[in-house]
Amino acid sequence: MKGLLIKEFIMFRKNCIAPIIFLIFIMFAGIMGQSQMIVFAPVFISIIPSSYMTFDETSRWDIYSLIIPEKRSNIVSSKYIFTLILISISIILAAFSGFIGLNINKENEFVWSSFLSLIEALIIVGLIFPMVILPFNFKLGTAKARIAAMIFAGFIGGSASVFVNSEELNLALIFSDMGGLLKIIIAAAVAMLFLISWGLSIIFYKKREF
Amino acid sequence: MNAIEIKNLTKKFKGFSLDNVSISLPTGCIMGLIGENGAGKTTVIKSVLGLIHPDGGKISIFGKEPTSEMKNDIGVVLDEIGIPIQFNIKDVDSIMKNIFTKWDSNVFYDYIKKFSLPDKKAFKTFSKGMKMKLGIAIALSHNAKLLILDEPTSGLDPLVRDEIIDIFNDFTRDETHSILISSHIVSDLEKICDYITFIHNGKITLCEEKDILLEKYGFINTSEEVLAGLDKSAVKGKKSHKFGTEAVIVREKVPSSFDVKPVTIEELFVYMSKEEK
Repeated sequence: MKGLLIKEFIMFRKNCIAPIIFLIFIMFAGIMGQSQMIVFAPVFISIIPSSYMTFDETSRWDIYSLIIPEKRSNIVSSKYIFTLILISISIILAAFSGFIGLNINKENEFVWSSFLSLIEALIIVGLIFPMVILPFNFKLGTAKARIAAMIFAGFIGGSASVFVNSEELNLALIFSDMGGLLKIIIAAAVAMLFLISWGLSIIFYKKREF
Repeated sequence: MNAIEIKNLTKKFKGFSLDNVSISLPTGCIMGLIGENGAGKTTVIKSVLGLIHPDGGKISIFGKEPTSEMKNDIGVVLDEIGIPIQFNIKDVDSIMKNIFTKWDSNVFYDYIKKFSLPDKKAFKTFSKGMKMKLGIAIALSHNAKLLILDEPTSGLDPLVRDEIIDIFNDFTRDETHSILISSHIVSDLEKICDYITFIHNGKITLCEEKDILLEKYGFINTSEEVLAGLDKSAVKGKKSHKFGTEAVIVREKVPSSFDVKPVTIEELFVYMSKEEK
């Protein structure tokens, strides 16, 4: 598994310019007080592992990874772990910039519970895309799964822009207004769905033929 | 012990099926899997490697059911090397040493030097021959006991092919090393193989030691009339043209008066495959 993760990080190192520029832009927006914008950070970053799967298929790494001593379940898990690492980094950076922005711009009083709700919202939006798309990728390959990916990316992008531009649908506020139990239930449900997605991907990939 | 043993392997696809394929590759030997495009060579190899799931039959490697851990002992070269195009030699070493338990970076870099591969250039800049050499370097750098090679010389020029064949010959100097190699470039296989297996339309049509094959079969130039007078089972394949008829025959079934010339594996394969059609 370690070798597979190293491969993912080498791939990231070779393709990191665009994500880094994007993250810098998002962090800048967060610091300037546009806390809604930071929701784009995990959304954008969560697309990366799926796009690397397309690179894998183009170079035939998907087949090569099956002739090396790695179980199919490890191949799937390495993608999910890589996804979680990337999303975690993007959330830390986004939250950090949001924290600074909220403290610098004193128009509204900084409320810890609202900030934590924002982080929860970031985690949820970050997990949704890979949670839905990765099982399709592992079952059908990225070329066939692209239609599902495009529809879903459009849905996520559209939703995110609605949340960013609407006062009523501000994700952080929605989460902030929710009761504590409801927040925990939603977080637990998303975590559970992510694990189900992980398990389904392993099942699909074990059955797949090349 | 057999390095690979395949018994009654079947796999059905739309328009093609692998039909009860049985092959045994003894340890220390090289077996050539020969067949035209679409004959089923790659399907056999994919089944052995677990890339596809057979419908029936049994595959064992070193006497055991194949597992992913077992791939530490197997070096594989497919017709396309699946290294991401942006990666260089150093990246490949960093990944492989964390995948193969017996990966030897020194051996790997020795091969890279021997093959004159650039260690800083991206894989996408490599020629077909260089890519294939990198695939072979990886396959030989983790102390594998078995090489499984699917069309490793296809698309390569004769010089590179000859160089690669020499490397495979070196590999089998160790008596515990074995190779299963598929190709439709029969002349390459003829140079190195101990065993020859013909596969045609998903069926094994012949599986024999190469030396026995060359002893058993011969090549004659004659006429249709003379050929018609021979026992039908003596003729394994024929080709008629305006100057006469050429045929591959079973030596012991042909009268000693015939001028029987040695047959090449390529002739044997071509004539037998045409006869099957």
